[in-house]
Amino acid sequence: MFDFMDKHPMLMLGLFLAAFLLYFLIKYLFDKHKGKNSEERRRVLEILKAVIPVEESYVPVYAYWTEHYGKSSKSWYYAMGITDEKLYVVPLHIAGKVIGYDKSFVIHKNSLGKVDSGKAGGSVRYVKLYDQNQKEFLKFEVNEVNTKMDKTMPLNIVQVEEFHAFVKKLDEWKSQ
Amino acid sequence: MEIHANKGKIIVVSLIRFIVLAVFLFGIYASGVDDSVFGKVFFCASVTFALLFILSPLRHLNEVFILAPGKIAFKKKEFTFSDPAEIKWARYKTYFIGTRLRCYKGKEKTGWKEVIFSSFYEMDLTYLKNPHEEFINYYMNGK
Repeated sequence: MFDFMDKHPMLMLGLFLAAFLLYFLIKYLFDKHKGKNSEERRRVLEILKAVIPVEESYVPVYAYWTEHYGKSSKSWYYAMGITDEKLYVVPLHIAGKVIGYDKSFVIHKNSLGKVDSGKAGGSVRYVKLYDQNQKEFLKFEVNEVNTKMDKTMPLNIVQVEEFHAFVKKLDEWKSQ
Repeated sequence: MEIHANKGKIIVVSLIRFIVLAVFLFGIYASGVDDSVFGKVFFCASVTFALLFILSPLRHLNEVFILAPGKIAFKKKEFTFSDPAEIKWARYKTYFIGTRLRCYKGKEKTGWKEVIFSSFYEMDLTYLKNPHEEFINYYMNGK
């Protein structure tokens, strides 16, 4: 065994890398499957239901933003619900498997100075919202597929249909 | 609400430290301790340091983190708040020593003096049983 490893170091390195990639591929597929109806997804929907008035018809999404400072990073997590006129934003607090929420706020379409809804197409959107003075006050990332990667990406949530409906509404806001 | 120390974690951390340092010190001993005074002093100092390092987590056994409306308390520190989001949480990876969990109020202090004396500004909750989870459960409708 060790003799074989000594004779073929590059082959061993290749096998090691292949095993590593295979592990992450399997983990990604497993988490993606789980994310379609995960406990976290249900919890986010439950939080939005508790916060947004019942008469509102909204598109729910999970969004986040991470900033890196050297070796450390800081993340903000949100449950969001968008209607034709309003965006409900609920800051989430996540520790392990526990998801809590903080005071929510509502952004009215008319109060915005500018909407940057990111590059069209693809499965990720980087969104920036600006006030009437063109000052950025909220930025977030929305993904079709969110899988647990590390402590900064702690939830398995797959939201393909919601993602497309959400960005469609934001694009409409942008063009108005 | 009171959150107590995670005794299992404290014992496991002490055991891991004991095993790692026992192997290290046995390596030094097996390779032969230098007969000179310096060699003996170095070996004794290493054993003393190892014992302190192994036993140091045990001092956290009686720690209690208190959650009350509008305030949290830990050891002699107390943070009051009107909104629980004022309390910030951070995890620090300290390589082979493990991950530290701490909380603070206001802006994170990152200057070198503040990092060295961080225990004056922050609560180090590393050895408690799920303090962040319990905080969210208690103040932020956690589930």
